[in-house]
Amino acid sequence: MSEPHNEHGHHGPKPGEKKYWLDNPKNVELIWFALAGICFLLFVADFFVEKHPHFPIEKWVNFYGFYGFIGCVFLVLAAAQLRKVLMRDEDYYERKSKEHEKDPQ
Amino acid sequence: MIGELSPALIVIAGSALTAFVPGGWPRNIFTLAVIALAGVQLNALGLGEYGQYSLFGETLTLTRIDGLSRIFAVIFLIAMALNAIYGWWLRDPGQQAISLAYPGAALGGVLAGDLVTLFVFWELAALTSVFLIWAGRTERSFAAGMRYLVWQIGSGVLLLAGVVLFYRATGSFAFENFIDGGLKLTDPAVLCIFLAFGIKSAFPLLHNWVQDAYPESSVTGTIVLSIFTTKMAVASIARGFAGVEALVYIGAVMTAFPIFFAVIENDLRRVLTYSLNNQVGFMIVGIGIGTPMALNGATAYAFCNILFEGLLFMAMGAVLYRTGTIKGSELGGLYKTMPLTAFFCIIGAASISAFPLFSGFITKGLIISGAAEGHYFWVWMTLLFAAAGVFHHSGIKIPYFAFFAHDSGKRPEEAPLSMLIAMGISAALCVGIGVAQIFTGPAGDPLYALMPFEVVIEDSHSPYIAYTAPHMLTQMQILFFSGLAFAVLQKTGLYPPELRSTNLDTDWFYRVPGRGLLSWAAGASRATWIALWGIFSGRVQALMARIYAVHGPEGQMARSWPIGFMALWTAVLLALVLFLFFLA
Repeated sequence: MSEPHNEHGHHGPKPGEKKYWLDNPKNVELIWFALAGICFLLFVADFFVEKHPHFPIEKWVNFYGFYGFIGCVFLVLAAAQLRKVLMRDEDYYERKSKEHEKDPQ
Repeated sequence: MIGELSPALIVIAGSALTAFVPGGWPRNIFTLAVIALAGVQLNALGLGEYGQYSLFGETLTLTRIDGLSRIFAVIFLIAMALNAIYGWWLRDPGQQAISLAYPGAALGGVLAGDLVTLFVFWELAALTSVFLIWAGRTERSFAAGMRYLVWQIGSGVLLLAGVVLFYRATGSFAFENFIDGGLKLTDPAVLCIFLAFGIKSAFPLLHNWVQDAYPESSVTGTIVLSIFTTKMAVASIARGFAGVEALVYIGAVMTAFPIFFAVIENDLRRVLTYSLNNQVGFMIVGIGIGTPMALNGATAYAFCNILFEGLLFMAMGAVLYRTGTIKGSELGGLYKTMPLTAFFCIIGAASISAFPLFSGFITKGLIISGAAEGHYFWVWMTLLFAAAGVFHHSGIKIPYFAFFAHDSGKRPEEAPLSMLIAMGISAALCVGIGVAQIFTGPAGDPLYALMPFEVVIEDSHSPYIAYTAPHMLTQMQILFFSGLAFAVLQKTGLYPPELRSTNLDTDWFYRVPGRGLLSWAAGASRATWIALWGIFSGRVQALMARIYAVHGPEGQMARSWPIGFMALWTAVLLALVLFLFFLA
């Protein structure tokens, strides 16, 4: 989770600075496993909790969990595609208005 | 108790006086005293109608306190006080006065007992709020404020037209449910009002003024803006259009589509404006379903949202204040030196995501259950997807990219004490509302007591009982598996990195091709102007020269050409409506 983006590789803690708990990659791994562990427990708990569904789909095992997971993966991958269409430079609108000022026709 | 004086007028009058109070402690204490006085008055008045006055031979009502307006009035006053504390360090009389006048106007709109009073406060809120956008004091914020003003005045003109047509059709200015009153959504009067409300609550395709303008405001201005305009619109829609089925679908679209933009947006305050759209979408769905439970859910969700969304905006404001930037691509690792801000931000994030023990958990469920009970399967699926999406961009992205992620090397100081106090109180309220019913039982939940409709708990499966095993389990499943998705995407490098960028949204249409068209029209009209110049002389020439001087390319109204052009046309439109009004 803590992988630095390439463009920011030169940042980070300065030498001699206090080390924080999250600076240790092992601890970040720990969070990862804790998250996966909690998800597993929630999956198991699904078998033991009686639900009161409105729709048949809610009866699927761990429906909410799988739907949330798939929904988020879809959201992010679709948004990444959206970038190809919608993304412009940071000063896109400023440049556009300069173009207009130079040549109002 | 001061007679029947409107709490909104107390706030507005107070805002006019703040400029005369010396900055620093005296002005801040004065501001809080004004808000407290308005609160005392609201409480002293109690439910009922106050401040009747006469206009056009009709009796109008300045202040109507009922279940619906009360819950909004209470949270508006709380939010005003929190904003005043947050901005304790401000020494800007103009911005501080507006930070009171604009919420005061929105409060007046929520309390308005008829359509004319609503219109007056509607416009006042529009005109005062633009100064908060200009408080950003950049060229960008000036232009964004102008575009914002066109949208807001557009909404006002539509509302005015709707009110006039409504009066012609019914002979009354009554502000009640229009559909129950026997009118149809397609009647011109009702449609105008619906669209006016739709602009202010940022319906899909009418939404983009929020993203365009709000993030350009100052550190404190954006927080104030994020609260009042859209919630005043939500309160108005709840009063006028509860149970209109179209709202269910409009709201569902609102919850889902902004989250895609939120994922790729780099300006973290702009991410929150997309989140604002999404959150208002939940409220709109609840209003559209229109059952007492769904309406209770929608209004209570607005109540909680003002606190947790405000808290998230406050945390981002603190980051901007300390680091000078709010771009995700330049931030990260701030938890090391701003741990308290990070902590409060996470509480806001947990609340907006509706984690058990936080305020979103006890209110969002009412709307989603309402959709299920109304058998809106696809709407229900959309709401669940949007709920996962909220967690994704507001719950994870905001705290993660600001405070964790890659270490930006920035080591700013912790936020100023006043900001920490305001964030601390907001966070405490988010948790307090979230856990209250564990101690009081659902029947005694203090938030439920504020809801507009009576809370009826029929059996042990009632959605009003938030802490049941299935509700907690399903909510935890959706959230933790969404979190797992984020972690997997980060680890595999599939997650789109934060990049310096602008993402196009609907404002592109009027900022690029629309602007080109206007420029062309301007050039054409200039040519016509010059031709006419040669033909006419004397008075006509002088008049045209005068209009040209004000609205032409060198005029005051046209620091940038197309905006001046739009301002002129908005004025012409307004004049036309007024003219029609007098004819009628």
